[in-house]
Amino acid sequence: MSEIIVEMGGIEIGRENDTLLSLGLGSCVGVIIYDPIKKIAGLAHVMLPNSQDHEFPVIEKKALIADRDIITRRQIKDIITHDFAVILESKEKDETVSVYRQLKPHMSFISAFLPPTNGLDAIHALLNIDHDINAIVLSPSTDPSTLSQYLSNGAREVILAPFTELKIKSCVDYIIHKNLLKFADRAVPTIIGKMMNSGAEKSNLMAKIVGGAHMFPTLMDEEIMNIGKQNIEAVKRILHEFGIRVTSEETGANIGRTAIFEINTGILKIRTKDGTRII
Amino acid sequence: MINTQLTPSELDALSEMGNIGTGNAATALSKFINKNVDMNIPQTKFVPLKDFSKLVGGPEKIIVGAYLQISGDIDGESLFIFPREGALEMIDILMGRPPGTTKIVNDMDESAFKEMTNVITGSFLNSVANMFDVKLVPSVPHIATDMAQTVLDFILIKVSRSADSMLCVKTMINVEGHHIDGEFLVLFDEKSLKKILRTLHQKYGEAIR
Repeated sequence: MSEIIVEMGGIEIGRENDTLLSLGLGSCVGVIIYDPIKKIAGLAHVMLPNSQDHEFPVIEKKALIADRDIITRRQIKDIITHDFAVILESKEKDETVSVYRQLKPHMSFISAFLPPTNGLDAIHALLNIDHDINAIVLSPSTDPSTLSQYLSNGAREVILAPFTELKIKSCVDYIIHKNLLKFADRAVPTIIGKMMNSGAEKSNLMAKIVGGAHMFPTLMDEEIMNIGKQNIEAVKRILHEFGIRVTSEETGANIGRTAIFEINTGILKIRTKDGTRII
Repeated sequence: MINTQLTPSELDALSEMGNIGTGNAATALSKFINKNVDMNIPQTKFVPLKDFSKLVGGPEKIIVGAYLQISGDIDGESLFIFPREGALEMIDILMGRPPGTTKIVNDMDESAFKEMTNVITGSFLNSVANMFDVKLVPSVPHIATDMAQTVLDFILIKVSRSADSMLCVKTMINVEGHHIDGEFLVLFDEKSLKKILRTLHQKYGEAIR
């Protein structure tokens, strides 16, 4: 039984027996997306509606795709092409190691079946070069022991076939674009992608929304008054685009809220300065 | 704004500004309530946005926040924060009640509290304005009492579009006999911060490198 506290602008995924929390939602919005059947859920602490509005400097990133199959390599490359300035490919372990040495990519996608042996060996070889290789394993297997084997041997994440845009981009955003996860339009797809990487089924997904308040009721500044409302609307719009139904909502007004979501039971509790209640 | 854009001496100079400002604010408050007031030497530092609530006791700590906007030659905002007990203590002092009396805040209490924040912020800004030869006008204060993170987040949201941390001047108020944990966060946007730094360099030139 563990409590996972999601920090401002962050995203976390939990499983059965976990509780996801977002402490102190004022104008920010806590979005919970959950699969009640697989008992997997994600929570995002959203701060702003639209990532097009960001003013972060763009840092050029590099990626490496290591897979013996050219079609898979192309597929991944097409999906990530806008996120990376340089994308190099390799077909087997030794080539992967030498390309890595030259490129020093920010992220590496490595096939579980990379010749001559497997992806695990390639990861070990790369870990001899760098601590943080941000290796993402592309695997056809849903066997949990395989997944945990990769994760405990240096992989950041394992993506299960089919390698959809949603799954790949959620990985990229979570690792490379952490500072964009505060935006609703990046947070929601990233939660969905990561949940699917953990085995959730898109058709099971439902959502709950908390927050988006206006904390200074006497303050009539329009820009400030609208932040909460805009966050709520953006979150709802994106959930709607993904076809995810909102099952409960506790938003608006002038009160601060902490959201507590128990994945086992699907119960959402709201804690305010006046007490806790279940919605 | 990225931390590394400020040199240690620039940060020192801003600290000095905070120091002078809080010194003046303490004097003004002292006259206002007719008691000895001390304000600690402020800490001026960059704080990651996600750690701000820790500064004031944690994300769910119930605080009273008095928010006002600064306009004129420089734009910014200030948030004056007291833990709820501290605010009640302050109101006891303002209204001349024995400590521990005020449990629920009525309209007059809130008025007095707002007036106090006006006095403090007004004198702080006046000294900053004098130091930089600029005009600074504070707005009317707005009050919210709720969990710290919820009171802070709309300011953090604004900054978060382009940065992961924010400059904050943190000080504490000591009213004779009563140690009241109040934090005074002054936030400048990037443009204004650049303006301030330029003026610092113009006025104090060599001393700041």
